[in-house]
Amino acid sequence: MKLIQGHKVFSIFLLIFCLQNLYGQSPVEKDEFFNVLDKELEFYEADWLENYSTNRDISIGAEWFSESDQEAYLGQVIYSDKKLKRKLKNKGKGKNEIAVLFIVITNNSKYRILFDGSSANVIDDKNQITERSNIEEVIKKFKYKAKAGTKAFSRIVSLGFLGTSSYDEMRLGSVRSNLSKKSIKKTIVEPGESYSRLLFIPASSIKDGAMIQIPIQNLKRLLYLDLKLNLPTDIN
Amino acid sequence: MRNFYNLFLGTIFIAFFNMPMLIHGNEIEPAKKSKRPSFVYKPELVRRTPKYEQKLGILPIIDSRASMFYGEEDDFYKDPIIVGLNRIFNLELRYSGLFAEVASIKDLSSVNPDIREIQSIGASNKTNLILLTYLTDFNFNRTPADMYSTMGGWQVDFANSVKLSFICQIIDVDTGLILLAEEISRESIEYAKSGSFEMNQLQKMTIDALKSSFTDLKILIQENGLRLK
Repeated sequence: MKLIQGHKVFSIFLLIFCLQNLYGQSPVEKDEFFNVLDKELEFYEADWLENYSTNRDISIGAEWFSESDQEAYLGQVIYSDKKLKRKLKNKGKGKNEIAVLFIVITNNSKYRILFDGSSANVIDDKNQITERSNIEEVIKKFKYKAKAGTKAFSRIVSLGFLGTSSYDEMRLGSVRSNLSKKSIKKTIVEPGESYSRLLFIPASSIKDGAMIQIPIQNLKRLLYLDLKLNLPTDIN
Repeated sequence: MRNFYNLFLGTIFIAFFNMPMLIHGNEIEPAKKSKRPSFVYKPELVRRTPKYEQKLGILPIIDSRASMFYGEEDDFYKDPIIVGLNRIFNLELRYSGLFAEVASIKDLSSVNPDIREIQSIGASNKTNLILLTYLTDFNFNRTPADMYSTMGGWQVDFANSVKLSFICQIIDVDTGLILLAEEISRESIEYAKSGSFEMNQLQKMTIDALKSSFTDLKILIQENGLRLK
C-alpha cells in the first residue's frame, strides 16, 4: 500500500515535469518580439512616399506606421489605426499614447550631411515644440511581461519556486534591441543615399498644422538647416 | 517514510531541471559604486614625428544618444560616461603621435557650434584644428541569441554587447572647413548561457569596443592627410 502511495507522489512530480515541458516549449516557438529582431525596415526613398518635402535637394518623407506594420516590424501594435484615425480627425486626446512614424531622408545634394534624428521633434502651428518619445517610454508600451495566466501556470508547475522573470527578461531584451536598431538617430547621410528609421512621437502632438522638424548639418562647413514636413494626414 | 523519500527525490528532480530558468532570473543593474569598473585605459604611446604639425583642440563630447546605457540607468562605471570618454579621447589622440600638440578644451556653450564660436574657441586656446564629437551610441544590449527547449523547460543564450558609436568632425579654425567627418561604430559581444553578468565582463567589452573604435579613427585621420594639410 505504501509502495503504491509512493508511486502516486512520484507520478504527480512526473506530471508536473511534463507540464513544464509543455509550458517551456510554447513561448520559444511563438515569441513575436524575437521573430521581428532581424526584420529590417523596407528600403524607401523619400519621394516614394506620398507625404514628402524637398529643401536644397534634400528630401524628407513620412508616413504613419500602421497596425500591420507595427505588428510586422515591432512585434506588437502600440497605437491602433482606429485611435490614429480618431486623432487625425482631432478627436480624443491621445494622452500617454505613442504614435509611430516611418521617416525617410534622401540626400540628393552634392554634400555629405549630418542628419540629427536624435533631435527630431514635432512643432505645432503656434511654434510649440513636443519632444519625440524616448526609447524607454516606448518600451513601456510593449506587453513583454508574461500574462497572469502564464505566471500562475508557471508557479503551479514549479511548485511555487519560479516566477516568469527569465521569460520577461528575454522578451524585454528583444524589444529593446529591436527599438534601438529601428529608431531614428544621428547619422551621416552620403550624397545620393537614403536613410529610413522610425520616429516615436506622443500622440497628443498630432494636431492640424503640426510638423516634423529635424535638424541637419552640412559636413563641408558648419551650416545648419531644419528640415520640416507636415505630419501625414491619413493612413496608407 | 517511503513518501518522504519520494518527495525528496521529486524535489531534487524538479530543482535540477529548473536550474537554467532560475539562473536566468537575474536583472542587470549598476553595481555598488565601489564595485563599478573603469573603462579608462592607457593607450599605446607612438613615438614618431607628428603626422600633422597643427595643434588639435578637443571639445567636450556632446551626448546625442537615443537612450541611456541600459534601461533608465547610466551609472554602470566608476566615472560618468562622458567624463571617462573625454579622458580617453584626449589620451588616445595625444599618444597617437598624429598631431604636434593636443589640448583638451573644457568649454562649449552650444551643441551645434557655428563658425564664429569655433573661431573664438580656437583663438582663445591657440589651436589650429578643433575636434567636435557627438556620441550617438554607448549602450549595453542583451539580445536573445538562441532559444531552445531542454528537458527542464526552455533555455536562452544571450548575446551581451556594448555598442559604441560616435561622429567626429575636425574643423579648420581659420577657414571653417570641415576636414574630416566620420562615423565610427563598433560593438563588442560576449555570449552568455545565463542571465548572470559580471562587472569584469562589462569592463572588457567596453575597453574592446573603445580600442577598436580608436584604431578606426586613427587610421581615418592618418589616411586623410592630403585634405588635412
